[in-house]
Amino acid sequence: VAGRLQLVWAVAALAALTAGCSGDPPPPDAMAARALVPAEPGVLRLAGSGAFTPLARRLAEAYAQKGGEPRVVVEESLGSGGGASAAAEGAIDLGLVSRPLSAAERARGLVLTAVAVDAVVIAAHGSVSVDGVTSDELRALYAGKARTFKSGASAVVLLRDRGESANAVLAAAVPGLLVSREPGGDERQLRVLYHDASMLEALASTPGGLGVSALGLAREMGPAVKVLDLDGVKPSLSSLQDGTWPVRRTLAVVARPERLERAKVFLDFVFSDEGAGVIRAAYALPVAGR
Amino acid sequence: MTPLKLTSWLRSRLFPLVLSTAVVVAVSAPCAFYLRQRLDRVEALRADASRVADVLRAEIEARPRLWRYGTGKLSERLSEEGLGRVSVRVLDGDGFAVPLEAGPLPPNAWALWGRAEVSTAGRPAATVWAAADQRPLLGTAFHLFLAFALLAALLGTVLYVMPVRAMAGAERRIELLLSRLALALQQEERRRIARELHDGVGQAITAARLELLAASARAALPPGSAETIGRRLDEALDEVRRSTAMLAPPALAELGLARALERHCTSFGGSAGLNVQCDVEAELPMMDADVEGACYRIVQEALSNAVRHGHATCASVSLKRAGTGAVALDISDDGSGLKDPVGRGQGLEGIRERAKLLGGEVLIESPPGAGVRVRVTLPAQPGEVRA
Repeated sequence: VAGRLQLVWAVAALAALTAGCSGDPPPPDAMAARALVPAEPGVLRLAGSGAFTPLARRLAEAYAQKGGEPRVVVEESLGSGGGASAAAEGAIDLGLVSRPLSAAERARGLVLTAVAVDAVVIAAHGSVSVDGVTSDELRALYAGKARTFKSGASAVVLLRDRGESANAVLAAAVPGLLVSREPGGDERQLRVLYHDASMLEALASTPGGLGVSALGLAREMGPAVKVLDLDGVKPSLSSLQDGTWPVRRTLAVVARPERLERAKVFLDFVFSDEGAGVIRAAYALPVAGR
Repeated sequence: MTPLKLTSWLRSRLFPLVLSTAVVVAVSAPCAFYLRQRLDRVEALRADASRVADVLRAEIEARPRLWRYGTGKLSERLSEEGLGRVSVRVLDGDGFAVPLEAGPLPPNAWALWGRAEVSTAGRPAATVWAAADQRPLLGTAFHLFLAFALLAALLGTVLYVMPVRAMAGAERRIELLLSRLALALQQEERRRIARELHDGVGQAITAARLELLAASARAALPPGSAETIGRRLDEALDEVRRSTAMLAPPALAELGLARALERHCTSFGGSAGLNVQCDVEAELPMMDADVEGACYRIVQEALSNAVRHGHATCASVSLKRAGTGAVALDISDDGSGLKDPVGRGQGLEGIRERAKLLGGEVLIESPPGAGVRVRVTLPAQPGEVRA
């Protein structure tokens, strides 16, 4: 009897130990695809690219001041991909994007409407003593081959997340602009910012900070953030308009076709002269007509 | 003598014990390692899931309605925070999958899961599962098992072989001692019977012979009867003497081994027409009585074989010291040799049996046409058995 009791105890202890190490149960199967979210009566919701969000808010405010209906609500930024996805599922009416749609996004039946073109700029901490950088200097700074500005002041490169549209247009304008993002790939352990607002805050608070932003957003920061020339070209509305400023991107809205009908009145305002004025005030160029 | 079978008894009881010990040694450490590592892995996965849940909670609080669509940046943020290689699955409060670009789980992975809940404002918003493939851990545990299995095999071999070998040696010594005891009892019994024959039957026949002589002197018997009865009594007395000599050679007790051998060689050679050369070393070790008796009997048997089967005319007997505490007996003849080259005749088997009982060794050689040579090595004191 004692032997059997010992065996029972041993088996029970082993079972308890094994159960303690077995981990949590696996996740259940996910629900099938989410049903289309119905439109919210009386509200037009916009969300998406962080580069477009401040401009969309300005347009919404101007639209609201004019007494436009339905009420336009601009959500916190989701990124262009998040805006497109939310628009495709009907969670919002208009998705804000600052890059072309991918094939997968186009396959979801989204309709893209370009609204404006903005300037992506190289911005720096307000105390940086240089007024501009060349493409070669920028490549050297990003690659870590140079750690200082031309003036000799230390430069601290700040990065946007990989999916940020500004990265793509800057890389297209400055070929060979490379930075290692792999863990341990760069001994500087560059800081990554995930939103335009956080990038601007970082530029304003980091002496020697250098990063990308939008012209309008950088101007709003005042002297805390300095907008740098690139290869001797000063970023401005005029250089954007005459095409001499090379780093540019299109800001657009995407929507399911039936939601475009709901947004027609708002989009008419955006493409009106009044809307164009709001866009220019944000240092972006309005796109003429739809 | 019936074998003791102590070794096989020990084997039958030791084997299951050693086997179970080896299994415990081989299995316990790898199992403990695996369970400990698995427990650590589960805790690490729960910690990873909690870290993902913290990031997700901040995202949900920032975008309560649309957080599900901002996971592109979230994926990259997880990657930047060192969670990019963790396989993560997230289900929102409605049970829909939240797409996150996390480290993939290998196909056919044997996943281990750690879970963390994401709640905002006291309400469950999502659940995060972090997964890891435990096959590499199992592989490591298996390698550990192989190493410990080897250790267990070595340990089991030592635990099994050492006692069994010790027991086998002890069993051999016990069997030898029992053989010696049996031999001693047999010799003692023979001596007792010989005494009884000599003192009882022999004395009775001698008395009858004296009575016959007295009766013959008184002319109480018919003529010729006394001579006939006398011959019969002499023959009976001779038979008694031969029998007592066979049972316990009196020469050994009277003369000692060396002289007894010399006398036997001389007397047997004379009676059998065999020229026997006897050479006994003067400085022989002190021998047990059984060893001396065995030497005497072996010489008797070998010389008898030489005459009866080999028709030998010459023979030599040699008894010398062989190393420490042993003697070597060498008997050779010029007879016709053995018909059976292995020497399986009854007489030679008797020689082998005697030597074996005392722990000795026998070597019998019979080259064609060169007679027979019997070489026997015996311990002088077989009672001093060594391991």
